[in-house]
Amino acid sequence: MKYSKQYKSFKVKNFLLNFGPQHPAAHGVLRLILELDGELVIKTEAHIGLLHRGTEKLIEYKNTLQALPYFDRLDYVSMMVQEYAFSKAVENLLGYSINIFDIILRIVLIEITRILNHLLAITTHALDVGAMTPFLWAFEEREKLMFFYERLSGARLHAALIRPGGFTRSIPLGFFEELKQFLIQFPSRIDEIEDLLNKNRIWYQRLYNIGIVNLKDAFSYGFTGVLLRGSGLAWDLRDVESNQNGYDLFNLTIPIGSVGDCYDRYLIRLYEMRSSCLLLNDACSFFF
Amino acid sequence: MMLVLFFFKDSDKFTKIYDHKLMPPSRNMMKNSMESLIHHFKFYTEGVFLPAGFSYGSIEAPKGEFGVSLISTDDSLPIRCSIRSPGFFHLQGLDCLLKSHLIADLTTIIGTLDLVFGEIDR
Repeated sequence: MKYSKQYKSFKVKNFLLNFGPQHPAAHGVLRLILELDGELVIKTEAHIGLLHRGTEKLIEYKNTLQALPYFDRLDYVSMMVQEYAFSKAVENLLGYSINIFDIILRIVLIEITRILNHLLAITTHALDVGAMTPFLWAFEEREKLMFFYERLSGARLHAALIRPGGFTRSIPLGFFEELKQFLIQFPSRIDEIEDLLNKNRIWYQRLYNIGIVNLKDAFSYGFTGVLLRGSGLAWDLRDVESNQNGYDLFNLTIPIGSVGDCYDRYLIRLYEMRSSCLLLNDACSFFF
Repeated sequence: MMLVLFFFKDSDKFTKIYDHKLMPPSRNMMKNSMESLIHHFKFYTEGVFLPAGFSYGSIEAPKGEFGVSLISTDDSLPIRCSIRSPGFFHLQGLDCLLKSHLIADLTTIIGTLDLVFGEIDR
């Protein structure tokens, strides 16, 4: 009875944890303020801007050629894709359309970039969750792909290759033969990663039913890409604009997920790597 | 617009369009023709002439839809370039995705959103 008076008004404040910019799992610089109830996350607040470089403002003072390398450095994991978007914007502005060889060549570069990105995305995800081996295997494959970047442009990472109007340089002899050699051995690398992760109990338990995206939320937040496809909507810009960007020459299969959780998205990314491989095989046979 | 197709001696299947409005002329042409020299000079000092207008170019990037919108006046510099990066929107949904999940799921969800801060912060 004595105690009940003491503890009548008892205010509880949730614990705020700073998942700070220096954290191995915060990819790059991410500062998150987490409001926690024990181990349960109540609210997240992201503080971004730690890598703000003023790209958009700087581009206002640069002409097209000078602005192009900025786009490589935006998403430094999938480089040529951004150059393509900028080149497309400039070509739309000028009302210019490039020839069929350049269209297909750009598709080849974009699919190489897609494989590069997904190799990094899946395996760094696995590294954060705890699986360390696929990371090393995938980065060996990325080295082989960066060899192609270097062959074409001279730079392994930031290849300012796709330019409004076409390309900066022409393709060297023997490029497509080398690409074919890579594509012969690549699907078995994906098989190895799958063997480690797909039916792994720990991986499955960490990913199944975690982070479910329902379509209503996806539309209101503006999700695109794998997050939409994981929730069941077959929306892929390559397919939607296929009459303009040249993908109607190829068979494109779009994987969609059923539940919308992390496991679905992991499977979709794996499948997209395989379908990029098939696309590249078709494109190579177009050229030689 | 003048479209001139040239075949390279090393790769006879590929063409490079030397439209003097959009691409620079080859060094051989630049050294031999006065017009090409002028085009080379204008291209590398001033840049491509962008007519006034607005355009949006987007692509299915591996992470989502990456788009660039350009606003230009009759000049070679765009006056506004706005970048729509997929990671920015995915990061905003982190709060929604993380509701009633544990801290251990935080790394899983950040990994699955495929965030790269270069494009989020720009």
